[in-house]
Amino acid sequence: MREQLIDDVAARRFLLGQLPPEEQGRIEELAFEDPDTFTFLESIEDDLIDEFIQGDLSADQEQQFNGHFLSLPGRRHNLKISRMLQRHLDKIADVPRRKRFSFLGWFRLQTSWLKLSMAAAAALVLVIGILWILTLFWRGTKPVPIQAGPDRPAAMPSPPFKVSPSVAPTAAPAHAENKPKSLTPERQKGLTAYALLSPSASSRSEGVQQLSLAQDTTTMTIELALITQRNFRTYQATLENEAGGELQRWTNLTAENLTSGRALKIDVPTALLKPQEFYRIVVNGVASKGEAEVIARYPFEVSK
Amino acid sequence: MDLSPESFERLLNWLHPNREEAGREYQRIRALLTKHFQSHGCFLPDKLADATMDRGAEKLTPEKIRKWVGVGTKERYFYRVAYYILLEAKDKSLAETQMPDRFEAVDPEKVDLEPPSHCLEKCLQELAVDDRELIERYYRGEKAIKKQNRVELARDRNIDLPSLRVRAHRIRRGLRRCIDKCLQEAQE
Repeated sequence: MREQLIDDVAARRFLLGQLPPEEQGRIEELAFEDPDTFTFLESIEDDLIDEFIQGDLSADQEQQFNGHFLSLPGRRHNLKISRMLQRHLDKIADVPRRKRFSFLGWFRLQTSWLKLSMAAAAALVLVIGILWILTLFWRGTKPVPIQAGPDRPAAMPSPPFKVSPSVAPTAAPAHAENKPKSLTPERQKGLTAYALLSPSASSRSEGVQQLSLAQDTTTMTIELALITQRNFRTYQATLENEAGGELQRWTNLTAENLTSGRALKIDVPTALLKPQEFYRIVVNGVASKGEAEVIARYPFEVSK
Repeated sequence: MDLSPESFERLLNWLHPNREEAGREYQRIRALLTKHFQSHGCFLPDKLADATMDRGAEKLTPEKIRKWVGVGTKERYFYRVAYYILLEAKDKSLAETQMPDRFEAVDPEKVDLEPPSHCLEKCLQELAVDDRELIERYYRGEKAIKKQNRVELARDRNIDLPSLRVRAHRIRRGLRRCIDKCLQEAQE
């Protein structure tokens, strides 16, 4: 199966209507754009319904389940069918349980000479088993020489990973949709534009988000909306061209609560972006132990 | 749903101040919606795209017009509307169901069907043996036992748990379709 664009926790919160409206909306967009995400949400929907039927939801969740979840198209019908399915499967599971063979019951019915012979046979099997285990143990304690061979290459140090210099997030106010920002003295030589990108599974042919570059703009501050509910210590963002070539990388980014919701902010030099070209920003979450995992992709196209 | 002339006018003005450009933008967004509905395997994707454009236009308030500005944002507004149209389409009740919260109030008591158990039994029998076994094992047990059953089932099938969940969901979706058909036949 393909990599999921949202995680279980975010999906459950989305379905129960627990997310802030902006994050809720982003998942709606994503679910419409990407059939795999839609199916993934439906599968989480099934789980929530099962938990509701079995009384496994907390009081708050149950309230949200009744108030929000069930108000959406198809959910009540799905609940009815799940209830029936569960009842039916419980019935099926009960039948073999009743018919299950009971060895103790059968043993009690046998005559005493048969019970005695069976006990003797069981004891004999037990003794043979113990002897066999002891033999294995005795053989296993003999030392076996360990040799280094040509099929065991020495550990090679991996080449150092090339990382471009870290770009600190700007202290600029968060607002979206390419609005020009008031200029600080340091920035008066070049203009900065703003844009908000949502995670998406779209490819170039599928009508991706468009970023427009005004003349004289030297930097594009991009807010990358986060829809995962998992918190990472830091994040990395990599700007790639259509072929997947790395153009720039930002490390040690931290999630901020901006007006558009939880997001990362990066400054992209516009010299890297060409009109009519397709780009992708790949965001990795970096856990406390240092492992990085891809959590979202933000494809976009630069319009004239 | 018929779109009022005022709503249509408001939509075009929002799409572009120039009428010709607005018309092109309308067609572009409609084409994107149609393609996405197609990718979800929807029947009559054109009709669903039209329903989305109409619903989106009706729900377009001055506040939303102020919020959804900038290049490439307008189709995203329609994607959010389209998500609900898609849910409705999947539920085969386009005219009856409505959108939640931010879009419209809903009547939670709608669609109250109790499928007769013979339909469920018949549909379970129609499943491929492998699928029937999977769904029976998937729903077996309660709480911790059910979880453990699923871990073992995923291991037996050599797939991970999320894939197992999606697989069970697809079987369940097939069952639901079969039950709906069975109910329709019972009514005729």
